[in-house]
Amino acid sequence: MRLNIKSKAKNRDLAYSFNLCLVICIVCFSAPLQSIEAQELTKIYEQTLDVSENVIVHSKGTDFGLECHGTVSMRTDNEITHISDVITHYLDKTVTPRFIISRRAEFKTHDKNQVTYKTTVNVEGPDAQALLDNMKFCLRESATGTITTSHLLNIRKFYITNGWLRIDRNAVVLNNGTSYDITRFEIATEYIIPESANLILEGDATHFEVGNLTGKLSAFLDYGSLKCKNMNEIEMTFKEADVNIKSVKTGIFKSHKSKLVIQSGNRITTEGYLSKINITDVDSLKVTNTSNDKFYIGEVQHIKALSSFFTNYEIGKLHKSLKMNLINGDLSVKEIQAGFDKVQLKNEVSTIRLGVEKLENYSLISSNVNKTEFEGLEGTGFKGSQNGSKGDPQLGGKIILSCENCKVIFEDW
Amino acid sequence: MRMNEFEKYIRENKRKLDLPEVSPKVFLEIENKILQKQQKRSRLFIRRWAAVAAVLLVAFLTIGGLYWQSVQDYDALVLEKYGLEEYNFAQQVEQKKQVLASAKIPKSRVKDFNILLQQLEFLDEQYHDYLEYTEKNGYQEFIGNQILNYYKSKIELLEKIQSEIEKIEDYEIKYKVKSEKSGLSL
Repeated sequence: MRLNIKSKAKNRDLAYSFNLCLVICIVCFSAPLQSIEAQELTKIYEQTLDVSENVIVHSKGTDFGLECHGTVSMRTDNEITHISDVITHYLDKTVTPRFIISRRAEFKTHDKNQVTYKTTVNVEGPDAQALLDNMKFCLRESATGTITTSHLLNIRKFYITNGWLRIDRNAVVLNNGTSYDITRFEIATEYIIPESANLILEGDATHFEVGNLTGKLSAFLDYGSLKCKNMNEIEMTFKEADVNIKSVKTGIFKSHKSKLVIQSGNRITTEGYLSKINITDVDSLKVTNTSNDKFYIGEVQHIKALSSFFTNYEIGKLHKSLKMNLINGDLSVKEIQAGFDKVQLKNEVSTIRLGVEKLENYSLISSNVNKTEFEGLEGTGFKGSQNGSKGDPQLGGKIILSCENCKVIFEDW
Repeated sequence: MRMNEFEKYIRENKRKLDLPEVSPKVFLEIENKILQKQQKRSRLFIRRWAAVAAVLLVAFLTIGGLYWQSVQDYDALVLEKYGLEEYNFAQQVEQKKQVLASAKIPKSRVKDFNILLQQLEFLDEQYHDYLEYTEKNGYQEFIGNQILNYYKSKIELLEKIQSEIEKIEDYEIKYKVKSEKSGLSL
């Protein structure tokens, strides 16, 4: 029995030594091989397609498939995702990433009826050349006039295996099922589309950028961002995203815990919650349904908010009209401009600041004003009344108030 | 004649033939003993059930405590992993929740405040999505920013709920209004 145990232990030691030698041999021989194979290859894929004027371009963002057996870690910096086969838990940025995927999808526009895609791929590894030879665009306009774009050409997924019982492998798998071993892969795509195109953007953690567009932009974003130049029409739903628009004629925005910045707008409709909305200049703003949002509006001609809960508004200049029903929401209008038409408020638990300094003529009509405190009317000839007028009421606009549990401050310095 | 003698004997010795009456003292003692036995049985029964209930209660509290501890530990681990432990976010959230747990709002406003409570749920769902994403795809630095943002938003929202309740209370005190109140279902 003892002899048996001893011989088993001896065998185990021998097996262990053999395995160790094997591993050392593999490492020693494969290292120079790898250094020979680790050449870097770059290829630019470009395709231009003639399209109809009102072509629909549908982009599914920069989403990618990833199959992993072992360990993987991802880091997104400057709109680029780095995927490594080594854990970078403790912010170790010295690790060489295997896949570098740009999360940026820029749609430049031009006045031609052409769609151009340009993808730059940079690869290292034993199958680098074969991969570059087999990657291609699948750009086609469907019978319905739609082009569905893929940020990753004909790549199906990225593949990583590693660990004690597995051979380390990093590969790119194409749509036809063929896979190519690589050690490093980098991809970025640019798009040029007609100005008149209708663009549909869908994306998870994608950073879109769109040039001037006379067609319609429809967008559905989760995380990520969207930056637009001059737009004709936008309809979008976004969650935890940053949206920045230079100008838009007609826009419908549904925002959930997001940031929306619009420099200039004609007709804007918003709906949402937990968002910050910053509009520098807008003709008509309609807030259909809001809760716990924050609005910062520089200048507005007409603003309407009829279903507003816990949302606060700060308005710089009001030119024409304001109609709001605010429940537990505050409103501050720094300057109501002379020539305004009507300010109509039906608020509950609200602090209202109205900058009436520039108004020489206006009338105040208060009805159903319960448990409401007024400030700043003393010096304007109202003599303690909540109804009355300043100057010639025929020449000025009307302020109509219906409030409960409110504080109304007339700033007339 | 014999019969008559017998009858006479019976009549004379009737008292001797009757069974002696049980003394009330003895009867009381017997009754007391029976009652004591019954009481002992019921006491034993109550004690046994009380012991079972106590064991169950201790087990329940221990499991609940361990679960709560593990949830808190997990949150603390997540914060540590992303280098956010210095902000004491978990404690801040807990403190604000405790304050709100005792807050009362007018019954007529419950529906409005539910909108804010739904937003708390939305934030928690997002947080779970982040954790699921990292479990699926490994450590991701940008998720750290999302978690930081989650805690900041949650604390901001809890503060907002608190301040909106205070506003209503202030108006009620100012205008001496006493409305029917209800707690928040946090």
